[in-house]
Amino acid sequence: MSRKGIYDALSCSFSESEVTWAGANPFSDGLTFGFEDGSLLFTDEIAGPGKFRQQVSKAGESINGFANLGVNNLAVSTRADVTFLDVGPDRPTAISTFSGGAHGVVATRSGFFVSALGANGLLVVKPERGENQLMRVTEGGNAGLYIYRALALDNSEGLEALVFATRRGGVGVSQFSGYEAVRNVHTITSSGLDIVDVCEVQTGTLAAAAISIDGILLLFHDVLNQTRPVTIQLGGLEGTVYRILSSAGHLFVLTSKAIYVWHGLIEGLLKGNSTKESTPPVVMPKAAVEMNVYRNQLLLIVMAANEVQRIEIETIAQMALKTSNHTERFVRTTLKPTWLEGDVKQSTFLASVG
Amino acid sequence: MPSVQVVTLHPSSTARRGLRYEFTPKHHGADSDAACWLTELGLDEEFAIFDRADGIEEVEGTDPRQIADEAGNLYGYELIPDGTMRVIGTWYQQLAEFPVQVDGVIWHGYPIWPINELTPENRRGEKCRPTKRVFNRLFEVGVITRQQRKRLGKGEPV
Repeated sequence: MSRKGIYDALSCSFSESEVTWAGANPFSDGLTFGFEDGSLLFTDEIAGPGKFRQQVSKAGESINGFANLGVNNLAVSTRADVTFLDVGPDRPTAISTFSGGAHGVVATRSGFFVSALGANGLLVVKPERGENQLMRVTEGGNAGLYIYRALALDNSEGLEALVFATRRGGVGVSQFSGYEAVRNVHTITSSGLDIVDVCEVQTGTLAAAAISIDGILLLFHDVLNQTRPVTIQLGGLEGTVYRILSSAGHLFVLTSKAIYVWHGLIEGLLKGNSTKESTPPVVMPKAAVEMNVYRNQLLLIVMAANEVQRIEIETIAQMALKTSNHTERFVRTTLKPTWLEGDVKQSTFLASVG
Repeated sequence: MPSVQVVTLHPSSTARRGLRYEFTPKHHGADSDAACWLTELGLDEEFAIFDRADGIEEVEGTDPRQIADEAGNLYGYELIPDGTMRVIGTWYQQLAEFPVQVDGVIWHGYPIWPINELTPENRRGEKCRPTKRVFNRLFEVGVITRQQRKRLGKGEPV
C-alpha cells in the first residue's frame, strides 16, 4: 500500500452529536461509540449502521470511558458521573449512577469495574443484578495521589493488578483482590516526570507501559515484581502526549499533533533488545482526541472533527517497516533516572448505593 | 503552611468592570480538601487570570472576550507558547473558577478541574464543574482549538 493509503482509511462521521469515544461492541462484532451528549451507539458490524442508540449519562456529558463484563454489565464514565447498566434479554435494563466525575472506567478479570476519579481516588464496583450497586471509593491518601488513568491486568496464575497514571506521582501499582479495606499503592516516579497514560502490552501478563506528557516511555516487565522500568525518551514527538497503546508488539502514541507508531518496539523491549533495534516511527499527523484498539486488528481514532477513523494495524505495521523518517530526529535514548518510590495507603469507604 | 496567611486584597481592579479580587488562605494551602493554586504561580499572575476571565475593555462592536457560564461565574486560564493551557492548580487544573458575586462584593477564585468532585448530599444537583458553555466560549474566542474543546469536555487535560 502506498503511503497515501494510510490516509485513505475508512472513517465514519456523525450528525446528531459529537463522537468522543470508540471501542468494541460487547454484544457482537461491531463498534461502540460514545457521544458528547452522553449517549452510546452500538453497531452490529464494523462501522455498519447503528441500531441501538441510548442516552446513558444522566448529566448529559461527553463519554470518556466504556467497559463491559460479559454482555450483562456495562459501565460508562463521563466527567460528571459513572453509569452502571445491568442488561438482560428478559428484563428491563437496570441503571445505577455514581454522582462523581471520572477519567474513565475499566473492567477486571475478577468481575469488578474500576474507575479513576482523579483527586477523589478510585471507584470500585462489583456489579450485581438490579439497580442497587454498592459503590466503594478508595481515597487518594495523604500523599494526594491523583489517579488520572487506571489499567487492570491479570496473569495466568490468577494474580490481578491495577496500574495507575498519577501525573507527578508517577506510576502507581496495586495488587488487586476486590474490596480491600486498605489498598496499598506503590508509586515510582522521578523528578519532573508527569505520567498521563498506562497500557497493557501483553495479554495474560503483568507487563505494562506508561508514558509521560513529554514522551518518556516506561516499560514494566511485571508490575508486581519489578519496580524499575526500562525508561526511554522517545525523541522527535511533537505536541502534548495524550494516549499510549500497544498491540501485537507495536507501540502507538497519540499526541495533540499526530499518531506515532513504532513497529515491534514493545516486543523487542520485552525480549531485552536494545532500544536502537527498531525502525523509526510512522507519523500520521492528526488532530485526534482518543484512540483505541479493536480486537488487535484495527486502530480506532476519534478525531477532533466529528468522525472516527479506522486503520488496520497490520497496514500501519507494514508502513512502519518501510518508513523513511529520519532516524536522527526520532532517536530513542535510554534514561537512568533517579527513582523516587513510595507507598500510599488508601482507605475504602462505601460512597453510595446507586 | 499556606502561601497566603490572611485574606489579601489585590491592589488593582479588572480592566473591564473594575472588579476587586482577594486571595484566600483556603485556596493557598490552608485547607487540604480545597482546590489550591500552585505555589509557583505568583499572586499577580493569579490576578491576571481573573482579569483575563473578566474580559477586555469594551469597544463598540468588539467581543469583550469575557469567559462566563450561564450563572455569571467567570473562568480564567493562562496560555503557554505551545498553545496549551498552563497548569495552575495542585491537582493539575488548567482552568480557574471565580464564583459570581453581587455588586460591590470582592471576588475570589480557585483552580477547577473539568471533572466533578464527589458531590456532597447537600449539593446534589449543583454543577461542580465548568459547563459546556464555558468550553464553547473558549473555543469561540479562539483560546482553544476544537480538539482541545473536545478534550476538556471529556475531563481531560489539553
